[in-house]
Amino acid sequence: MVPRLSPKEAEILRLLIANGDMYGLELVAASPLLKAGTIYVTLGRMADKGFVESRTEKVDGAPGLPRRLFKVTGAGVRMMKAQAAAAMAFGEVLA
Amino acid sequence: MTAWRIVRFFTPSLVWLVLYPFTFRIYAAYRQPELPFRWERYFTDYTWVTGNPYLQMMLLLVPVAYYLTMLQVDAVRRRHGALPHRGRLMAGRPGSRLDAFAEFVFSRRTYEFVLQPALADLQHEYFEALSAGRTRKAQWVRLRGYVRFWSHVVAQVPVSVLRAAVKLWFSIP
Repeated sequence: MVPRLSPKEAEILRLLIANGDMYGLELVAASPLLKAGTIYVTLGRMADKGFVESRTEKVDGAPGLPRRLFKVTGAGVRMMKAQAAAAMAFGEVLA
Repeated sequence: MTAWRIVRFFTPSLVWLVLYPFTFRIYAAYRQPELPFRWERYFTDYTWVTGNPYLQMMLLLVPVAYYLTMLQVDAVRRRHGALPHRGRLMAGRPGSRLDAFAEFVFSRRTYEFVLQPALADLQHEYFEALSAGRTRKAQWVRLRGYVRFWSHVVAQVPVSVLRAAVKLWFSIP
């Protein structure tokens, strides 16, 4: 089954490709499309599809739980390129 | 303010009082599936089903007794000047109980990838605001973090249920 890419997932992939590793809240701050109340559900779904991967980052001496840093995978980059190509082709057909 | 303090102290007990009957219901459904469900008989049928009504009543009273004792201890310490008259001397990390709840209730994957990052963000923002001396902002961040956590829970539950259903469906030979 071909994985689908929702507008939110495409936005996350675009941001991660442009900026490299990012935290969930940084993604929310960078885009009005993403909401802080559901960002990790979307990221978790994308991790299931293999578009993003993550690691915990514990800063020495910092209180609190370790934060999770997200980065795009090769599959995510390919998916983004495929979607861009499809959008371009679709635009040409409509034009 | 005193009323608010009492509400704050008793809220966990009240939550427990609401959730407590459901533990009976689950156990009753397990032991006697044919038993009809009757709201008005929680503390009779279901205590009987679990086998030891006195033990169940103890479980009910323990959190109430605990918070009553804590209130009393708090009052005594204030009288002797060990605590300031208003506010708390020291607060724990915000969301630590939610962290324990999420770890207990949800799968490891959901906890690690969805709920723990939400709580980590809450704590990070909270301590950042506190270290900047912005107490009001820290309070606001904490409240907002709780709302965000529960939004994640609400958004995640259908995903988890669907995943479990798919897993169950494909596990049937």
